[in-house]
Amino acid sequence: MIPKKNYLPKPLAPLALAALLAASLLASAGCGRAKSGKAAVDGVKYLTVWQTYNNEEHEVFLGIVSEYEKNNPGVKIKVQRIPWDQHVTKIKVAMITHTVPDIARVDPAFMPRLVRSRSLIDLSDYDADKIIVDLVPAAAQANVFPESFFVRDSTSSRKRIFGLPDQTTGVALFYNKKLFADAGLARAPATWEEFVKYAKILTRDSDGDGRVEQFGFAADLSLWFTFPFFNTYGVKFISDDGKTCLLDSLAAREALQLKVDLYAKHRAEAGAWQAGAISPDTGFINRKYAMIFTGPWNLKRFKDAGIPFGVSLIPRGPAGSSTNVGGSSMAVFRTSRHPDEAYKFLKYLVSTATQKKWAEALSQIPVNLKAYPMVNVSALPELKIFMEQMKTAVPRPKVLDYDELESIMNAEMYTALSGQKTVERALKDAVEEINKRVLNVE
Amino acid sequence: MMEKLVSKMSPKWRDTTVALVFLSPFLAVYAVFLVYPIFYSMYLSFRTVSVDTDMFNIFSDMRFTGLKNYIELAKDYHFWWSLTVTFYYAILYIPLLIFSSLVLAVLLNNHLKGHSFFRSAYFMPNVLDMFVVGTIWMFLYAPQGGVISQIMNALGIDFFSREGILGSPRTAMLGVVVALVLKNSGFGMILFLAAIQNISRSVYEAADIDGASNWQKFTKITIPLVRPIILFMVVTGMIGALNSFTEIYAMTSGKPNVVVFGKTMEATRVAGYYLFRQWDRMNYGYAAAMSYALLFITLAVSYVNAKILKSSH
Repeated sequence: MIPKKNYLPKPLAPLALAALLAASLLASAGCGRAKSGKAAVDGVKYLTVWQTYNNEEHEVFLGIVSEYEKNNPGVKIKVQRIPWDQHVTKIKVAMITHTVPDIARVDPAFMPRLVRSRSLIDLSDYDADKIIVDLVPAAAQANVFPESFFVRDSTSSRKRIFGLPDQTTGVALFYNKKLFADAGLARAPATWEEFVKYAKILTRDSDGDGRVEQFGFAADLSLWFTFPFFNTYGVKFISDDGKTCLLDSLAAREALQLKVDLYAKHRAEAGAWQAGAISPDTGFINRKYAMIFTGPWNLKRFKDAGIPFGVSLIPRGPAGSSTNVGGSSMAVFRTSRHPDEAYKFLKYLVSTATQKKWAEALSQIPVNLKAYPMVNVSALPELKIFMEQMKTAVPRPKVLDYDELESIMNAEMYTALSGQKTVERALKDAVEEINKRVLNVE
Repeated sequence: MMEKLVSKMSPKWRDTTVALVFLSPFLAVYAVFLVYPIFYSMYLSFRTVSVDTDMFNIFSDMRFTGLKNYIELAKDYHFWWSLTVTFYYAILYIPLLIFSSLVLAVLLNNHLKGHSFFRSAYFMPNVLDMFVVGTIWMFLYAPQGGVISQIMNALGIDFFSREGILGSPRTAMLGVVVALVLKNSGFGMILFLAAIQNISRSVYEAADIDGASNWQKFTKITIPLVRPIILFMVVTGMIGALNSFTEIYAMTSGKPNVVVFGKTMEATRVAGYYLFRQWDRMNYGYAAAMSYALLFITLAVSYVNAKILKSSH
């Protein structure tokens, strides 16, 4: 029999028990709930901003922040960068752990969920309604919600503002001037009829081996890149009460049919929407695609690649020319210790002077319409087309789970493009799924 | 006081207490990160995040909905589809894994020159993270510029550069499985090699005297004697398939889409990935119910496998 031993010297046993108790107490400490941001120290108020800008934007943003701090000595702003593709997850976790910042830069698609759960400060209590009239309408509207949206059983359509857009973007038509000239085309297409005609002319099998080397057009699959089709046909996605998807309309069918026909019927679209295909951007640089839809973020890239390109408005459809809206919004969380200062900073960010600076430094579309005439576009004249295009842009549908809506639509559009379903069937199925999984959730 | 208490204890109690104190760091971690989540996820599975749930207090603000999540799950054809895809994945993965592991083990058992190098080389991918391996394979499979499509193009086969392996519903799952098999067969190889080397040489010598061919020796001696390893790999492979997530997340995100009985589905969306999607959409209660459903399915499958294993002994 193995003799039993005391494995711990006698005095250490109680010590170990005490240590365990202390560790448990320590572990349970710090579970209190706190307001975000630091309390004012020596009269200085501290704000924390979570932003998701790229390197270039980050540098410009830091410049704006330091200028703001200089002009407002009572405020100090701590800027923290978080990755764009993880920001929603990070904010969700921060809310659960009560560690959200005062201000965060968020995807407008996430705004409805934040508003519905009453997580944000209502900026209408300040003078946001006066500020917002000067901002790009489609970008601003992503932050405006009727009371009925977030107050249960309310039927009030009184509009409330929960964020300000800090950046806006959208796509326009990029075309390769050299390929156009080679095909005897002098200008970009202005209507969808012209667009189809041009795309067919620009699709070429130059060596006659039966394989097309150059395509007239290349399209992305995603709903966001398909909005220009839907918006130019005046498609309404969701009913006014937000309960029904309206995508099985004639206008929606015609819009999606146009995109499908470009690939399947006219053979003028490269199939760039397929997984692993040459992306529209890359194909445009490689001179394989004559026309693509993309945004101002590619202006510098294409110029650096020496592409002789032009930018034009999205071709007109029955509802005129229109585009999608991207970008982001800045919102103040309800736990902020200094909401007044946070709002004041947001106001400064979207002001005419700041937006002029932002647009010129980064070649981006300013969110403030008053800054439009002040922006010097001599270095990038194409930016002017984008500024024009944004005036007719249409915001994305405001639903609680936009990602799910996009995921359903992408899947159904894929089946239509790949010929597995007709456009009508794909849209009918999309409506059924969106109604069930996105709109009628409790 | 504490010292007094300890000195009053009988030696048996003192030993138990001391053992518990030493075990307590592990037990604390185990309780917090394993036991508590198991029970908490069961609690969550009876609750639902509503559109009005306060996101600052999301878990405490979830509504009690009884068995609603489980009933919804039973009616959710996307869930049943993801289970079908999971079993399809297992059917492709397990035999291929066993075959490749066994072949590698038999080859290395022949004491080829540099066999220890090959043994390490084949085992190496097993220690890599699945996400890294998946990303590398995505580059290999890329229809434009991927090594595989370039080689196939040179051989006059253009399928790989047209649709791509991961872009076609017919080949996407096979593409994922091949990547996973090549990653994991090193581990299976070590198990088989150990089992093969434990087979007494006298058995083979007796077979030689009886005039058995190499193939006969392999099928009549080697395979029957490594059967426990095969069954072990079936059990762990099945559990692995039911838990699979990273490879799908890294390589396909459940895509490409395919129409099945008129419904649009995702060709590689296994149950683990569908669960992740639900969690990501803040359907915490539904995801918890799904995790319990998967747990019971895993237990049932493991029980059946264990029965087979027992009967084979």
